Amino acid sequence: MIDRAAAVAAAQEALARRSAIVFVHLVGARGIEVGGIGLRAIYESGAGLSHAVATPGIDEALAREAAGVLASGHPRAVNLGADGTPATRRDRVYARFLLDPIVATPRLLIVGAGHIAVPLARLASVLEFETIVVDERADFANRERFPTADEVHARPFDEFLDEFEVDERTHVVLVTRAHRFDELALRRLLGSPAPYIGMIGSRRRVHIVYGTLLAEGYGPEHFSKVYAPIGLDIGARTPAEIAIAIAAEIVDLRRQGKGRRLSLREFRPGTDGGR
Amino acid sequence: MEEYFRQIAARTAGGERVASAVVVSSRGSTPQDIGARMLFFRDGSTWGTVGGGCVEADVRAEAIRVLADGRSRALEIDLIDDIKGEGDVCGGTLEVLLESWSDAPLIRP
Repeated sequence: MIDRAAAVAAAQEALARRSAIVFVHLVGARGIEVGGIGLRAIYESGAGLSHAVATPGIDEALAREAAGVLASGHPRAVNLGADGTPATRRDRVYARFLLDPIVATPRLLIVGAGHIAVPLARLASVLEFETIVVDERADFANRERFPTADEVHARPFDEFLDEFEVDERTHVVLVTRAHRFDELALRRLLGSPAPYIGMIGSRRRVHIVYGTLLAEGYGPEHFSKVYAPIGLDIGARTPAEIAIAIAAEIVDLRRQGKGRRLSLREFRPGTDGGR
Repeated sequence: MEEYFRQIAARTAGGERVASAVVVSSRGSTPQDIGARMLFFRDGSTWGTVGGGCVEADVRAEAIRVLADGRSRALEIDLIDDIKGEGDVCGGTLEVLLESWSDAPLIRP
């Protein structure tokens, strides 16, 4: 049986090194004896399940599902038959599991501490992102301007980015005071596992940056995580509005949203609004 | 997530039992997200949320039982037609896993 205090320690340890694990919980079962409800095993990439949970077939299926949950970062409930094949809760025999990924808090790294960074850092804190701001200008990158940020670094961009470990939970926004700094930062981030690299700038300016980098030998595959010009199209003009457009784009990406209006604009009583 | 485990570790290290609630599934217009989590402590305080007014009272009642007997269990809350006078409008069903955490060895009845 899994030692629950040790499981909590294992979760804390994994979070500290920002590597994900999956808690495998039994939620319920029918027609099969699979032991008590609750945490039953920890899945770790490379190590598999920490404990046998049920039948070999179920354990095999759990490891496979846990690997998928680890990759997506999203929790999942699964129902399995005694042999590990998919089941439903209407079946006579099933065991139901929750696969809960224990993943580090997402980060937002804001490169550039100017007028957009200020409202964006606030929004990021509200969205419960670990927020990090960097700018070489100490009169911009300071606690007074970013009271909610987790870290504020007054350091040159290149020096900071060469040391900072950007992982797959680190979203990056490039909003420096000059496009050459955005480009300099982008060049350092293109090979990183960041799921989102947003860069400010007009369409024309972005084309120029892409052109420069393509000429240097970067391929289109390097730009798949680059979102430029940055943000959802909500007509944002002020720094706060632009920050909301950026934050909305990050939420849309994380939640696999559709970035459109939800309102039933054609709603008429007695119809489904044409949908 | 870091804070969730920090809370469990700190409380259980002091010999206290903690109850956790995690959303397993949600159907209908309930505003919860799978994996949303909440902790319940002996002194009545809580950490996190599984979705506010519509469900929290039900989850809390079950969590108090978990704190009392130390047994993990699943809870299904039916929210269909739960349109109350005070303006709560939640529909659907919510499935929550409640677990007991403690540093002491688990004694099964």
